Amino acid sequence: MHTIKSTKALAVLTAVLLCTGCSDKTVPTTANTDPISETAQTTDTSASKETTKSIDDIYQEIEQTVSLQSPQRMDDDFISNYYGIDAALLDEYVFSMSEDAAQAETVIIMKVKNADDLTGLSDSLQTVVDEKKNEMENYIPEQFAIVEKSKVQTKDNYVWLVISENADTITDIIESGLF
Amino acid sequence: MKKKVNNQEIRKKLFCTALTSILIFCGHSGLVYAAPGDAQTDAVPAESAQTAESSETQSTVPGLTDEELEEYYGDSVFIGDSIMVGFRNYSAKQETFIRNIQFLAVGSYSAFNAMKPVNSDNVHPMYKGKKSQVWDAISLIGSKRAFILLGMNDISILGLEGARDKYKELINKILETSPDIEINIISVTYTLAGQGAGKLNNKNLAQYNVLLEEMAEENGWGYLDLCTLLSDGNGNLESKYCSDGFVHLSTSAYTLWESTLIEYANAQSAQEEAETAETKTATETETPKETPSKMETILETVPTQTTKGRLE
Repeated sequence: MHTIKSTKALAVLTAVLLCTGCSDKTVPTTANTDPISETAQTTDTSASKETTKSIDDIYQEIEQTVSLQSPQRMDDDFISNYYGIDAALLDEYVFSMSEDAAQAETVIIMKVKNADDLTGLSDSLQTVVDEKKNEMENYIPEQFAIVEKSKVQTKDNYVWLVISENADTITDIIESGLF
Repeated sequence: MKKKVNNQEIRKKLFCTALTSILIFCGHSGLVYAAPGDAQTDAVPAESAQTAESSETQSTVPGLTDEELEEYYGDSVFIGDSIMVGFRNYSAKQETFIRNIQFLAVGSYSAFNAMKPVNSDNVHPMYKGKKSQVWDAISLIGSKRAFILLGMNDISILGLEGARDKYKELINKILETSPDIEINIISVTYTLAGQGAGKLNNKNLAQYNVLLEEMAEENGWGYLDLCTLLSDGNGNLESKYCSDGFVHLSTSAYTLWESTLIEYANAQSAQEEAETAETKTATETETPKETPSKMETILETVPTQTTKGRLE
């Protein structure tokens, strides 16, 4: 009898522990956790749509917060002619580079219409990074160091690249504006 | 753009355009311009050298129209280093003809780099999202005119003659794949006073420009002297034309550059028109002897068409 009761208690305890383990979810709920660099299908919820800023507004906030190095916004023809980016694939974008050729600072934020195009656009932005690295290495080492720290990032339907000594601040503005 | 003129008008026009050409070119195959505004220069002012004939229809004097400038530079490619990248960025903001110029430019570019293979480590200009040898890109674009500004990043590595030789090697490579392309060399520009380093100093830059101008003349290439226009008159970059306290150019320098291109196109077109008119006259005077009386009659009574000398 004592054995049966112990066994029942053990079974109940085991069941409780198993149920607790199953309900222990570890999905990140903040942007500080892992999935920023993962390309994902569009999963906009109605809550996130309401809080997402336009890329134009985000860029304005960047300009107001950080002193950019003579920034120049490039247009459809420019990004197509030099970087092979088709603006027709984009819902909206900002492609800003310093007009001073001795400055590597670049802020690019793009929203694709179709998530399938994210990989191609990421590759295009990577060519921007590689070009800046080639330009600045052995030429302006301080600028090369800034480029080396940069990274193309994607999430949902967005891809962005920040090359700047203020990259952390700019990235925070982008991510808090979009997600 | 066609004109009907008689022989007298042809001779008058020949005289005016020949005078213009002599004053502008000053014995060189290239062109040297005085800057509009207050820039100090020893160059011959192109504006004073141009005549001002009354325009009947589409006269090329005093200057090309906006559409003609767009046509002239629309088929051009501008190749160069970070100085050219700055001009590219300046052009992208403009609403004038220069907005449509095609650039193949990248920082730290040089004739030395241009001859290296394309890989992830080597510097080559981007076109349509890809790095490529500049001659391949030119061939893809189908450019009819090339304006090249290189050398600052070569002098330190190769010395003056070495840099010049590498430059010529690059141009010859371009001509291999685009044999009909018109080559125009743009002078290198100075550094700010006292900011040169090692071989990259203004004395060497001045000498390098002499070598480039000689090379252009020997090969029938154009030469555009930007250096004198942007100098302070003492062999240095004028401070107001410098953006970074060293060597890169300011917006006002690029504005002057744009004006220079207008004058360059005007002068080139005037020269081409003079050459065309001269050819027409030579053809008309070499008439067959069999029926001289009949030809004399025709020359007296039939107006002769001249076409604007343009590269099509």
